[in-house]
Amino acid sequence: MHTDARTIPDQSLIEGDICIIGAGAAGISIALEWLNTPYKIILLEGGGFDYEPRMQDLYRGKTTGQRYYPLESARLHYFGGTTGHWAGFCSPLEPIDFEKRDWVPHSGWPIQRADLDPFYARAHKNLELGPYEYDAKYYEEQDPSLVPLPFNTDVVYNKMWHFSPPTRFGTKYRDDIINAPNVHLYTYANVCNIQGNENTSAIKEVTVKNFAEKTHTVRAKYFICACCAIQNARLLLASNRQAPKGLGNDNDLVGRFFMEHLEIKSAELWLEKNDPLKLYMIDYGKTKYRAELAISAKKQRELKILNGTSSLTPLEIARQQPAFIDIWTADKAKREKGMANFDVKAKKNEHPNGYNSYQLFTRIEQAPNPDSRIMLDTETDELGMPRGMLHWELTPLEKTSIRKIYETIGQQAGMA
Amino acid sequence: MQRRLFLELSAFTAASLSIPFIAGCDNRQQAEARPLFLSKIAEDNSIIKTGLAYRKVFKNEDDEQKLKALLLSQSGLAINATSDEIGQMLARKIDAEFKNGTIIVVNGWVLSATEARQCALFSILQS
Repeated sequence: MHTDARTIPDQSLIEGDICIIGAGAAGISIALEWLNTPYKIILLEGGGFDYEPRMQDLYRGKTTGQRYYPLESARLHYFGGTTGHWAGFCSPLEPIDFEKRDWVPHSGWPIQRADLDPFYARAHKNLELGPYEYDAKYYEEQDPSLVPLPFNTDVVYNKMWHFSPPTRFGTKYRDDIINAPNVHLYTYANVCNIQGNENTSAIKEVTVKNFAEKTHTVRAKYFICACCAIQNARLLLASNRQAPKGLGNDNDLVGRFFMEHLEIKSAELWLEKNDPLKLYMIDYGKTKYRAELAISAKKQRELKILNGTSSLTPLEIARQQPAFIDIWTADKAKREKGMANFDVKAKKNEHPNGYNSYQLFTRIEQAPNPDSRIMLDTETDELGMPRGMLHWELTPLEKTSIRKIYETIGQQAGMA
Repeated sequence: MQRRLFLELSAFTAASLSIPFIAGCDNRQQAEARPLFLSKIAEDNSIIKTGLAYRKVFKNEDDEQKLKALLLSQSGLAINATSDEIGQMLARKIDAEFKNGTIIVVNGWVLSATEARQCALFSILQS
């Protein structure tokens, strides 16, 4: 079922068993798990079904520290969320990512990678990915033309990535959600405050607002915040009527340890003669999977570095492609034009026999850093909610890790 | 930072490699001072810059005779070894250095110590 929250009477009371705040990849996936169950699911989406600049402006905010994308365009504020411009890259975390590592301050999770495996397999279906199989050998056996670089896999191995079509949740699952009798989707329902119970040990209700100047209340037995790392933190911090530092923030941790995909293009791999390196290549929109060069857990421990992988792009093509952050503007039309040129340049420079030089595009995890954080600004958005502010900060460990990753790959290249 | 890859080590010593000669140098000097793989993918200027960068860091090696001695040390080669024999020995040495981690980053290149010294010697011979 679908209801436009602008069209119902002001001060409506909406009630259900489970309330999911945010209808992006996470919120919609959770709602799909509850389809056709006896439970009444309330799914709240701040925007409508399409991109609207006025809605995006609610995400606008200042950024400091490490250069970041404009907040109003980095995440999308409509049904389907940021899957609306997601590129579709998927790969599971590694067991070492969950471990307490003495060289990574604040590392260690209360769960292990194995705990996530059943969920990863289910997520594969939602994201229209292939089999939940990440062993490079499986793909090499299926296609003999996928030849791995001759590296010692105890040091540098081939980590597989899968590519979603990419699935746009807003279009793919719209009908499933709207036609489900037990799922009640409310669009234009921006949660602006969370009200706790008397001792703030549980959520009692949330307040939603929209540009039609309507305010509604939503009550449920359970609430799930699924509106992205930035907006989840912003919402909890802004819900400060009962707890001055924000709801659930007794330990001053809400909004801290902000992390992003840290990506850098900074190394080149040169071959003696041309090689297509098909196992490592992507033809965007066609390729279903590829490998990236990854450092083994054993080597990470030895070098005391963060985890990361490097993809390979023919240097001839890579040199013509600017960094994403340089072409990513808040202006949607300009941004889409820049991205379109990106693909055109890649196609124009394709060489069937491969290349002798490749750029390494490396993405690494970030060391957990409490000073990298989401905060509230004194400025408010159009609905009266304090704007979010991001201070993105890295530590020296990221830089050291990238350098050591390259040296390790370089050593393997020299040995090969 | 740049990276390099040896795909076919055996090809390094093949006569078919079209590597330009260093002006004024005999075959033996060519074998000692010309980093074969780097020569195929980088301009001479880049090799010279790499050699200069190495000499700046390792000032105690900034000497033609010292570099030659280091390149040929523990080689087991006869005094009258041919340029081919020298080339083969250096290729083995480079291979071993990559295996045991005797690598160095100079001017953005990940090189074995021997390759870096070859660049240094090259830069001296070209000056």
